[in-house]
Order: sequence, then C-alpha cells, then structure tokens
Amino acid sequence: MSANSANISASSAGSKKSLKTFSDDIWKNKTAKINAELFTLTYGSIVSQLCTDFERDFKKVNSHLSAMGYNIGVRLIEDFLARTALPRCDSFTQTSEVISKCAFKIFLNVTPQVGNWSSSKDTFSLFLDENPLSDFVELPMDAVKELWYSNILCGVLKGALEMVQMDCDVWFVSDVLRGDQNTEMRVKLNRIMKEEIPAGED
Amino acid sequence: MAIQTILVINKSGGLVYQRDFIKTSAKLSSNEYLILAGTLQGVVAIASQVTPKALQISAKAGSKTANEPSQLIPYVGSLGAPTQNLSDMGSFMGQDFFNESFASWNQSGLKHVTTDQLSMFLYQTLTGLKFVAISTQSTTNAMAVSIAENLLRKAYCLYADYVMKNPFHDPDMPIKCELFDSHLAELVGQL
Amino acid sequence: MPCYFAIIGARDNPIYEAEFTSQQLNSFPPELKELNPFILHASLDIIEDLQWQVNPQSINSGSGSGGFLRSRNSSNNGNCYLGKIDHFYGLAITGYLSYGNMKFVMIHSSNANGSTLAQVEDWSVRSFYQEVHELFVKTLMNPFYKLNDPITSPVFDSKVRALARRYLLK
Repeated sequence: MSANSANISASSAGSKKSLKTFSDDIWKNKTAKINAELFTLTYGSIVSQLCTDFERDFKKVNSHLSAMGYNIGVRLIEDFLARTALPRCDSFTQTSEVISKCAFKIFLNVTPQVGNWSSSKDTFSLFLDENPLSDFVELPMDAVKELWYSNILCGVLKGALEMVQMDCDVWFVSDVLRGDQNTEMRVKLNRIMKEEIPAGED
Repeated sequence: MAIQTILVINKSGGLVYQRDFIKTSAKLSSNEYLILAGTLQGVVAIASQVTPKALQISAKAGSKTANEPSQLIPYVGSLGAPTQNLSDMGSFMGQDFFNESFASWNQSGLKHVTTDQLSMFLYQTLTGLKFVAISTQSTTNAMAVSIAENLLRKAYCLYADYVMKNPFHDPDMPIKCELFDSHLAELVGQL
Repeated sequence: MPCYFAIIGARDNPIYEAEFTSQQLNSFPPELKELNPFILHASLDIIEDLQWQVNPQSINSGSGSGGFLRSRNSSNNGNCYLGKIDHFYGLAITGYLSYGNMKFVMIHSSNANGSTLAQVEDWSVRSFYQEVHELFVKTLMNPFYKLNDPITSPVFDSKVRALARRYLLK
C-alpha cells in the first residue's frame, strides 16, 4: 500500500506529474483567491456570533459549525471535482493524500501532514501546522475546554466524502488554540457506500 | 456541430435542468423529458453491465500495473473558437477552465448515442451527476465525442460555480439559476 | 523609571492598564499610585484638544510635520505619537492616539520621590507606542474581542510588559 501511495500520479492529467505539482498549478493558475484576513475575520465573526446566539453552549456551537460545514462540503465537492477531474481513489491511503495535498492546498493553501494511521488503515489524522481559520484567535476562558473553533472543517470533509460515496466520521482531537501541542483532525472511514457508486465506473 | 439541448440529471435519475438552444418544431413535453432522463439513467447502468467480462478483467489488470486509467479524454483547447473569450469564468482563472486531458469517470457506462439525425453525449461525474448534450448532427467521430466531453466538463465547472455556490439552491432540486443559464448559453454559443 | 500605562477607549472608558516597574528601579510610592488613573484622565482633555489641531507635534516639540490625520500619500503612523502632552509635579505624561480614537497614555516618573522632572526619550517611547498599537490591532482581529471592552488576554499583557522592558525600563 505504501508503494502504491508513493507514486500516485495525478493521472487525470495523463502525465507523470506528482499530485503536489498538479495541485500547486491548480491553486496558482486556476483558482480565484480572496484576501486571507477577510476570510479569517468572516469565519471569526460567524463563530463568535454563534457563541452569543447559543448563549455560550459550546457543544451546540460545535455541532452547528459541523452542520454548516456539511452543507458546504456537499457543494464544494463538485467544485473540487470540476477543477481537478481526479479519478476515484484506489485506497483510503490515496484518499488521505488527495485530501491533504490537493483539497486543502486548493481551498486553503495549506498541506496538513497525514499520519497516525490505525492498524486497520481505516483511520488517519491530519496535522494542521497552520490553520488559516484561526489566525489572530484567542479563545475566551470559558470556551477553552469545550469549543472546537475550526469544527466547520470536520463538516466540510464529512459532507464532501459522503458525496463520493465514503461514509466517514471526522472530528478534532487537539487544537493549539486550546493550548495543545498541535492541531489534529481525525478521519475515520465507516464504509464505502458501494450501492451508491454511479454505474459506469469500473 | 450545434448543440440543441443540454440536460442535467441528478444522481437518482431525476431531470433537474433542461434547456434548448435551438428552436425546433418538434419539442418534447416536460413529461417526456423526465422520461428521457429516467431512461438514460437506466440505460447507463445496464450498459455497464453488458461490458464483456473478459474486457473488464483485462482493463482492471492493465490499469493496476500501469497505475493509470485506461481512458483519457484529450483536452481540445478552446472548443474550436480562435480565442477563449468567455466574459466571466467565475472562480476559475487563467485562459480556460482546465488545460489538460483528463480521466473519464464513466468508463463502462453509456457515453454516446447516435441516430442518422442526431447525437447524444453523456458526461457523468464522480458524484453521479449526468450532463447530457444533444447535438443536431449525426456523428461517430471520436473527436466529436471528446469535444462534447470537454464542453460538458466546462458545463460542470459552471454548475459548480453558479449552481452549487448559490446558497438558495437546494441540492438535487431543479436548477433555477439565471447566472447558470446565461453562462451556459455563452459557452454553447462559442461552439 | 517606573511608568504607568493605560489604554482609554473611544468613550473614555479604561480598556487596559499596567504599571511597569523593575527591581532596580523603585516603583511609585503607594500614595501616588492611587492618583495615577486620575492624572491620566486629566490629560485626556489635552489629547482631545490636540486631536483636532492641524499640527499637534509641532506645537509640542517643535519637530515633525503634517496634521494628525493620515495623509493619502503617506502611510506611516508616525503622527499618531503626540509626544509629551502634560506634566504633573515631577511626572511627565505622554500620549498616542490611534485612528480608531483609542488613547494610549503613560505617566513617566523620574524616580520615586519625583523631585526632578522626568525625562522622556521620544524615540524609545514612540517605538513602544507603535508596537503596542500593533498588538492592539491584532487583539481587535480576535473574533472574541469586542471593541471598547477591557482587554483581559494574558498574552497581550505579557507582550506589552515585554515591550516595556525593551523600550522603557532601561
């Protein structure tokens, strides 16, 4: 499996380009960009408004962020596929590479590290060295223990993966905003929804 | 090659978009279009099952060793127009929506139907969405098929921008987005 | 020299205060310490006067040029620094005004007994204010901070104190 993931070529391009060069090119030349601070401040004001609206019930805020992310994910996947036309992944290892090197790169211009695989190869972690959502953010004292500030990302991944027939659970296990060493997201594949894979694929 | 109609079919076989670009006397009723969409959905599925077993196995083995899909759709530039001059490509930058050949997501399903009077082309996405173009010319030319698939992938790019990013559009519901309409018309007009 | 620093909001409400002392330097005597907020607030009127004058710095120190408001052609924030604006017995008071009308003010004391007038090193005080201003802007970017609320972040506090050690307590 490792040999397989080592030489994933962006075969949609039909060349031997690595997934990284392929994604860099799409991000650089094909994608419209917005001001990062506008983006960060917009997301920040959404989260802080949710905290006010739910009267600082951070569990509700987490689940609401995730639900918003899910709605984004089911839409964003079409944009991702239209842009990249990547073929279906052979393995979950390959999926993890595409998420980190391609999806995160194109939409957020970061490349999280993939690691911490479970022995059954159905769960992996994404380590976000930098998180464009949380620049400038300091969590208030009462939120440090409960709020997952970037929880929208979990929803986005879940929604997007579900649309390509992978039923996954996605959650945060640590966040530097809470004083942890790193920011780690966990992605667990429950099952591949074979019955929903469109006819015509091999 | 003139495009007469473009259809979009959702993953459960429902017609969510239909638009004629050429006025014809014999127009299908909306009900007949719905039946057409459902029929296509079924035919695509059946076509993938009638692929000879031997072919399926050899294709699998072949793609495993080469680690490369057996089918690539060549990029056909700006679809025959001298210069790419779409006024607006939404969130897509550069000269064109994409500029490389790409893998087909529909390797064993139906892609192309032709009669003496018309051709129909199908482009299926990984999420199960189908884009259908009906052209007024009969063709069995491989070039025409790849031009159609390029066109339909561009329609998919427009769909990603103007339908999926419209916050008031419900997924899987009929598409009522004027921006999508006008951009698609511009794209088809370029042919 | 010990210093007392405060940020006063647009509605003249205190947002942040800190006293900078170090071991070698004496701190404010207790009876004076309580007076510090009053002394600072008394100088707010002067800042308001200066704010609308065409050329606040030239009036104060005779140096610098240009009005307070940022000119379209210059993007430096040099003229936010108002210099020494007031004194109270031996204490000197300096001020800095952000474009959002946040007032940064500070009391400088020469020594504990305040017998001699405190000297203000314009260059280092200005740098201090400018860097605090930058920190303040970053605080504003935090989605959980509301404008004109007191700043409670310990990170902000420790960074301001580090700046004070670098520029003021020498």
